[in-house]
Order: sequence, then C-alpha cells, then structure tokens
Amino acid sequence: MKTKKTFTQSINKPIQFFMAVLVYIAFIAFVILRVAPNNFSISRIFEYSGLLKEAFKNTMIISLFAVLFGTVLGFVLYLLRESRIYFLKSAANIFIEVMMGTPLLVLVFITSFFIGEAFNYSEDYVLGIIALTAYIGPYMANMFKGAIESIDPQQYIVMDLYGFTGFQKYRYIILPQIAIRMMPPLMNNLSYAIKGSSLLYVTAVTEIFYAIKIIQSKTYAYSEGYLVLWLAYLAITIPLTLLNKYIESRQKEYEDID
Amino acid sequence: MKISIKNVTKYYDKKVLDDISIDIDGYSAVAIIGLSGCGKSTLLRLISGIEFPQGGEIHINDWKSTKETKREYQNQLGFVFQKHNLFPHLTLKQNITVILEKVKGQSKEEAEARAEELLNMLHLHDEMDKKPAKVSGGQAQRASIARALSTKPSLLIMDEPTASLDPILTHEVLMEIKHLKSMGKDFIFVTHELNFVKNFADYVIFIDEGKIAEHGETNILNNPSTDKLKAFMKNVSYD
Ligand SMILES: Nc1ncnc2c1ncn2[C@@H]1O[C@H](COP(=O)(O)OP(=O)(O)OP(=O)(O)O)[C@@H](O)[C@H]1O
Ligand SMILES: [Mg+2]
Repeated sequence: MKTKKTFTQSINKPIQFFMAVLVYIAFIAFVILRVAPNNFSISRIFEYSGLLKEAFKNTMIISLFAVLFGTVLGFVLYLLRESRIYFLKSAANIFIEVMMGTPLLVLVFITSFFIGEAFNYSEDYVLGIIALTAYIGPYMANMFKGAIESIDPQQYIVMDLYGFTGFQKYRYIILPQIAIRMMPPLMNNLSYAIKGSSLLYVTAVTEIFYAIKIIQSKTYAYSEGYLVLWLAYLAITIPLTLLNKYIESRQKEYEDID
Repeated sequence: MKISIKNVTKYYDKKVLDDISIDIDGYSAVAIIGLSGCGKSTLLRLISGIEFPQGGEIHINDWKSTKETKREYQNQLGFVFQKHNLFPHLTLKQNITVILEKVKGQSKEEAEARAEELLNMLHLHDEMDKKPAKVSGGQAQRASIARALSTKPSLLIMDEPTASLDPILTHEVLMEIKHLKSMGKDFIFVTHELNFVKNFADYVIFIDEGKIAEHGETNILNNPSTDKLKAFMKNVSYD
C-alpha cells in the first residue's frame, strides 16, 4: 500500500542530515559571536602549528600505546580471573573493581605524583601511558570475557579430545574467532584513550590539550584555542566512529557467512 | 573390539547410570539405544573419557580410562557428535590440519596430504576449502568424520551422528560410516535410527533408566526377551 509522503519524507536524507549539522553550527556560531572578543581569529592559534603537530602526534602515540597495552593487560586480567588459583583470581578482581571505580583524572595523579615518585621515575609520558593502560585494561578484560564466552562450549570439548594445550586453544581457535568481534570495543577504547589522554595535561605531557593551554597563554586567544581543541578531538574521534560502524557492518556479514 | 565395563555408576544431581556392567569381545559395531534421557550420552561420555564415573571401571580393548591416562586413552579414539562441532573460522581442510600440524606436530605437507586424502575419501573434494557454514549439514558432518579419522583411531565413538540431518543427508552420512566399517574401523555409537542399527550394528545395548535392560547381538531387536525392549520397539516403530 502506498501512503502519501509527508513533507519531511519528501526531502532526501543527505539534505536532512546537512540541515541537522547546520543547526549545530548555528548554535556554535551564536555562542562564539556572543562571547568571542572582537579580534577573534583562529589563525592566531596556528602560528604555533609546529607545537600543535607535535602535540597531535603525542596524543596519537600515547593513545595507541595505551590501547595496545590495555588490550594485552585486559587479556592477562581475563586469564587471571579464569585462573583456578584463588590468589590470582582475587588479584585480578580487585584490580578490575578498583580501576573501574577510579576516575581517570585521579588515576593520572596517583600514577605520576605518587607511584612514579615512589619508584624514582619521572618520565611523564610513560607514566601517562601506564595510567591510561590501567584504566583501559579492565574494560578490555570484560570485552574478552564476553567474546570468549560466546564460543560454543562444545568446541572446548573437541579441543580437549584432540589434546590442545592451553596456548594452542587460544592461539589457533579462540583468539582468531574473537578477533573480529573485539574490533569495535578496541576502537571504542581508542576513542576513550584519545579523549582521556587530554587529562595528562595535569602532568605537563605535551598532548593536544596541554599544547593549546600553552598557546593560549602566549596568544591570549582563549576562545580560538578551545574551538581548535574541540575540533581537533572531533577530527580524530568521528572518523574512528565511522570506521567502527563500517567494521561492525562487515562483521555482521562475516558472522552471516560463518 | 573388546569392551569391559565394571560396576559403573554416574550421578549428577541424581543417579544417571546405576551400577552398569558388561563384557563383550569380538564385535565391531556396538549400538547403544534407549529412550531419551535414559543415559546413553552419559555412558558414551564415560567411554570417551570426557567424564569419569563415581564408581567402577571402563576398559576398551586394553586401554583403561582414568584421569591419569586420559591423553593416551583418547588418542586411540575418534569422536563424532550430534552437531559437527567443526571450528567455524577454519575451512574443512584446516579443521583437520590444525590438529595434525599444530597439535600433533606433523609437517605442513604431511598434514595437508592426510587431510586431503580423508576429505577425498568422504567425497568432499570440492568443499575442502570452504568454511563449515558454507557447506550442507551432511557435508559438515562428513568433514567431522574425516577429522575424527585424522588421528588414525581404530575406534570411532559417535553420539547421534545423524540426528541433526534430514533423511537424505542422513543416508549419505550413514553410507560413509558403513564404508568405514568395511575398512576395519570399530564403532560404539548412539542413534535413534533403528533401521541403521539393524543393518549396521552387530551388538546392541539397550538402556532403560540408567540400567542395561537387555543386550545381545542385533537380532534381539527382532526378538526382544524383556518387556522393556518389547515396549521400546513397539513405540519407536510408530515413529
Ligand atoms: N551434565 C549434566 N548435569 C546434570 N544432569 C545431567 C548432565 N548430563 C546429563 N544429565 C541428566 O542425565 C540423564 C541422562 O542424560 P543423557 O544425556 O545421558 O540421556 P540420553 O539417553 O543421551 O538422552 P537423549 O536421547 O535425549 O540424548 C538426563 O536426565 C539428564 O538430564
Ligand atoms: Mg543423548
């Protein structure tokens, strides 16, 4: 049965999408016009483009390492939590619960100012990566648990019958099956890490937020600084989200096949 | 094949197998039959060494099933389940080579040659590079039989290998099983296909509520001596 198209249905999707974007741009423009000084000019920020580039690079490196190590930590935490040794199981559980209850900012403080100090270590980049890793690990542990539990228990019986070792089970059967399933949470965590790494400015790591703060203090271009900062994060995270959507759609295809 | 089961008892929440004993020798295809829930799969899991009884002993040929000898014991056996249980991310061929190459330590060439030989034997020549979801249920089940044969067991243990298949695919799988018997393999299997039992098995164990109610050469099915087997035969022949 054909229904009459309403006005909104008759305008095609891209145009509607563009209209939605315009609403937000209008809102931001309104705010800027209301509060920005008369000499508002984004180019003042880009006088320091060298610093910005370095900061951008640092943010990416810190986040990628944090996600990489966080994934490894997550897998180790998963294995420990599955351990038959109650001490290891408890150690993993305590770590996971404590980390998931700790705000990232607090974690960054503790890692840099107390733990680093206690070990006479002051490389703030590395300490920052450690803090982010510890923050991401528990989430990844839960993701591993979910993905691994989705494997048919019969497969474990088969592996046992043929004498797979623990390592062989993970290496050849379990991890290859969950790899694709783990991509979306991995990308989400990269997005968290990128946003979360902005908190490292408190320990003077030259990431995007810290760099903008420096530029602002030199140029007094505060509103421009925040705008550039915001757009910089969106410029990284939105493509990530889109990539994630794409992977998810491919994954559905893959799972239909499998 | 020699099967020796002595006073085997298995309980979970309740008793499932109750003091089962049987000693047979010289048969090559032994069928375990009985109503749903009577304990057939449980007995097969015990015979497979996947689980262990709370009491009693199980010997197959000269192998004893214990927790300590599990590895060597299971190396003598091949397993086929109701579902094919192939690894979904691997092709039919890789499902075999992963075991031979990565677990059993054979060379890549050796493993591949063996996998191809077995898949050819089960008429899966054109399917061997497909993943399980891309082949029919019968083809997947035949691949799982090929996998079960890969480690050269002399005895195949099968739990309702055709229960998830339609009649045509069932026929195709059963033909392969018959062919394997003619090649000298032994079988212990559970099935609801009484016709298959009749023309394939040479010994039948009938289980009722966790006990062996009757056992003997296959013609006991035509001539049951206990009321329980009589009732069972009467019921299933209405299916
Ligand atoms: N792991 C288990 N835990 C608890 N109870 C179990 C377990 N496995 C089997 N049982 C119980 O043991 C009894 C026998 O089960 P079993 O699977 O051996 O029956 P079966 O003869 O194979 O039945 P079917 O023909 O339906 O496959 C059932 O009552 C079942 O609920
Ligand atoms: Mg069963």
